[in-house]
Amino acid sequence: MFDVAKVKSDFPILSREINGKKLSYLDNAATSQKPQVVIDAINNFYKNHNANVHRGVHTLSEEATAMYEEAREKVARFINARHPEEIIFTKGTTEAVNLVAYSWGRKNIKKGDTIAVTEIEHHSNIIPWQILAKEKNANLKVLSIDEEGFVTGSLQGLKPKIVAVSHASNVLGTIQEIKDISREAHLEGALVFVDGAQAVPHMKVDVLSLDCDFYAFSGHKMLSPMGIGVLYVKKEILENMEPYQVGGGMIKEVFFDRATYADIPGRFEAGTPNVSGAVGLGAGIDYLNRIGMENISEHEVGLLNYSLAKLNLVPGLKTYGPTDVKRRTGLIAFTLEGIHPHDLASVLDTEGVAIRSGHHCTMPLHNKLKIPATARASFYLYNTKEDVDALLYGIEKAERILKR
Amino acid sequence: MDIYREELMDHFKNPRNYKKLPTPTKSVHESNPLCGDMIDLEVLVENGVIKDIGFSGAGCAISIASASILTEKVKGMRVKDAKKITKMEVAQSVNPDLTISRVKCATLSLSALHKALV
Repeated sequence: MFDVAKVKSDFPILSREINGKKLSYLDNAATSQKPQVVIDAINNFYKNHNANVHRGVHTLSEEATAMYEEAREKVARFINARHPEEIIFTKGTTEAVNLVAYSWGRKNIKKGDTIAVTEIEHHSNIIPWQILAKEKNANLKVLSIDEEGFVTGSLQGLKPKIVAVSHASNVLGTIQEIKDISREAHLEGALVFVDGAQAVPHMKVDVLSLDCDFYAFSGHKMLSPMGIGVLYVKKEILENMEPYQVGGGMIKEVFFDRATYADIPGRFEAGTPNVSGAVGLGAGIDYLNRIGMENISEHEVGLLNYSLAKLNLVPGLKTYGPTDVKRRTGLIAFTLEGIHPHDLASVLDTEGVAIRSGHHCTMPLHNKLKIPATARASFYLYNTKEDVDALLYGIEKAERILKR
Repeated sequence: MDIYREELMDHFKNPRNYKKLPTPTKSVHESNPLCGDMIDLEVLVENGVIKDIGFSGAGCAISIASASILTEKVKGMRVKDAKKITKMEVAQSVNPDLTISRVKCATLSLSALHKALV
């Protein structure tokens, strides 16, 4: 394991006070905090190496290009992709889903085809497919989930063209058995798109062993800057995909009546890319590697065990998600009888505890659970039992103020 | 910051005008998609005056308390005056310390009222 106090001291923001109280940051599923090394990496890029990437022959441009491409290699190694060119930098997971739905989807989805999503998906892994289905007169099939959030709907006989599923849920924490889903999907002749935004920050992800065709995630949830994300696509699929956005940087030759496009991955990165973001992501990955993803998972399981045991003792409090903590990431969505999650979050804020409240961009899932909103505490490597204790104290305080 | 003052909590725990009207002249439903709060508001308007008003619904303490405060304030008021009430006034009357994200909760009942008085 690792020294959590030492880790905590690497994150300047965590020493901040909020409303006169020590900050307990439990909103990591929304975005994570950044360690000094990531802040320094961005700073260093702009201070010493800033230039536009690719094609420039001057020193700074070559340095910036090397840093950008080194970040791509780090990402590829981190998720065990076979080739760095299978990694496309995007703004984030949302842009990655949109890219696939637009580029792969428009070419490959025809009238009457089936696109499969699941009940647990984040809005960003529903709407791009919904629009694609409407545009192409295709069917959007919604696979059902069980109480704990695991996909139970079968693909057998559905013959979908693509299956879009999240690796880990942003509300229930449920970690799907992607390997099984991939096997089943491939037997049906479908490709598999995985939204890994809530998985990559918290566990070791190996795209080869998952055998998915597309995998997307965001930098900002894994200690890295906002505005940088990743789309992994198997090389043989990516090579046959049309551009998503077009413009500079993604072409080979341009005439007024035609253009030829750059090879992968440049074909999918039109315009000046977010180089400092990529460099920051590289630094974030280095940091995570030093701690070890297995250690981070284990740390979160410890916090889950500790907090679930305590939360489940609070009268009127209901937690959601898998009972087996090994099959969920370090977050807990819950409701408290008679207290609206927004009020709870406001009271917790007065105690320096940051949690999220609402439907967390999963209205269909909340409809299924028959609740309008939940409160969600989400952990990361720098959280401690003291943070959980502050949460519990805040819950008691909310009950004192708000119980009717 | 103390947005849950005692007076406000009294409006939340014992909301005024939390009722259905027997003969409303207008009923509206308003919701806040961000948090799932919803309110049903009914008014009885006679000769340009809000004779009676009632609300029901589910929501956070801020939205319930603000509906209670607002309905109390506009009962007996002329429609043309009630139409002039601004979001800022409501937020101020609920609690001047409300943060931006909570102002939305406090003004849900006002949106419903404006709809009802169209």
